[in-house]
Amino acid sequence: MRRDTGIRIFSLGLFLLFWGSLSAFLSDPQILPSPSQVLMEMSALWQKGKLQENLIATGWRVFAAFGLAMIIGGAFGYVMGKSDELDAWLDPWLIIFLNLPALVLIVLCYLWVGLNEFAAVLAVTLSKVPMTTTIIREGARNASWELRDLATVYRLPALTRLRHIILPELFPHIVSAARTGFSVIWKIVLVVEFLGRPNGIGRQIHTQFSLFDVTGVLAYALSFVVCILFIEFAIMQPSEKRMGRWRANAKA
Amino acid sequence: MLKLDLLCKSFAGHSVLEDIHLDLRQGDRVAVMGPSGIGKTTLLRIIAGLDTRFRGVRKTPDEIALMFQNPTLLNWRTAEENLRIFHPDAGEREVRQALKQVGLEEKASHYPQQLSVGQQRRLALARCFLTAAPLVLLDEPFTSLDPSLRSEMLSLTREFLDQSNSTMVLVTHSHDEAIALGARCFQLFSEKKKSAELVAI
Ligand SMILES: Nc1ncnc2c1ncn2[C@@H]1O[C@H](COP(=O)(O)OP(=O)(O)OP(=O)(O)O)[C@@H](O)[C@H]1O
Ligand SMILES: [Mg+2]
Repeated sequence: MRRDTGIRIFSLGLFLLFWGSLSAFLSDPQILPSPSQVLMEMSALWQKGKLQENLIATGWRVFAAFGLAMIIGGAFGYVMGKSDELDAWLDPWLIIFLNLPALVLIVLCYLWVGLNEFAAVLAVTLSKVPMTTTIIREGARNASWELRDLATVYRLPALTRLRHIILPELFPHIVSAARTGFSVIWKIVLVVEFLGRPNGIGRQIHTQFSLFDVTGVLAYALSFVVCILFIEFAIMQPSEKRMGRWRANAKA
Repeated sequence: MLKLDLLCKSFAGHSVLEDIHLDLRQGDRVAVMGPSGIGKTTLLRIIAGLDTRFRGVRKTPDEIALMFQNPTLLNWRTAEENLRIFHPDAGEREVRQALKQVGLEEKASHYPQQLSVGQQRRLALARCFLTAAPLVLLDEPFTSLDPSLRSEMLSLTREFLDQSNSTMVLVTHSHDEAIALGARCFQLFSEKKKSAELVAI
């Protein structure tokens, strides 16, 4: 436990208190419901099964797009970091895609591919790939050519190289790509759903928005944020620590 | 066993090495010397098969061991794994034996960054000689070491070479090293031309 854990919990309490008193002051649940009202709405939605259903729909889009973006971006980043010639060929494309707003990609994907699941995941993946590519390319550029030479001379099989040299060497960059990727992707997925999917948290927020139901919006949004935080603390951070063991050991 | 007839090696149209001929038999030991930037590393990379963009013919055994000035270890794997990964066919006993020979049997499960610089170097040496490759290429592995570590590394290398009867090509700046390893010396010269030639001395 960190020493300032107490302060953090207290500060979170203050936030809830602030929210509660603001909503009491406004005394209009149509504008700002109290935390307990939102909580009740969440449990009502949970009992109806709507919360789970939409969380799962959104969750799978997040993970599909995340996985694809990591694999595609990682592969592009690696080859671009290794080959100056390929880098020269692909870099202008990368810059174009890097500066294309996610919203434009989403609209274009829906227009060209159709209002379907594939277009949705494709749009999110495409909006994340350039960022992953850039980060992994940086890692591949910094990778040691001496290790690569040794691997060649000792004729290590491709799989051994990938597992024992390339991936560990890129690991810090993979982690940072995963972090930024994850935090960006789940926000884009909501927009994708908002614009053209029949289910998911984004769609529900759209529905609640058209009903002017602030409580509903907050209920869906908060439950999703809780899931994201859970993934962050239960999966992302521990795996980062575990994989970085040799560094920690080296310092000890 | 090693035969190299290098007609010309150039980088971007600029010739670096020309007319270099090496013909070594099993167990031969040679040291390649010459000023910085003359092309020693380039020559070694050609022999190792890492650089294939040259004019000429190269014939080497399939199995080659290589060592650089930097230990070049997998920092994210333990000492033992560092040996294993590069020598998947080596048995448990061989790995242990190699670690023991360089005085690291107690450090088998340490990560490279938990080892002293001298220990890292010895680990790199153990990796280089673990499977007694018929051809061993060394690129200044003893440069910028403190004198006692240097002589320790040299005598370990000598021991390994005597055991394995490997052919060795050593790049070095020092006659002492060549003598300590019992190697014939060659000098890379660049005369009026800007490219280097190999001369026995
Ligand atoms: N990848 C490359 N591209 C262009 N020129 C290169 C490349 N590698 C080496 N050179 C040039 O080839 C020449 C020989 O380089 P090399 O590294 O073989 O020298 P060296 O004899 O090993 O020097 P040192 O003793 O400093 O290690 C140098 O002039 C260098 O600038
Ligand atoms: Mg050199």
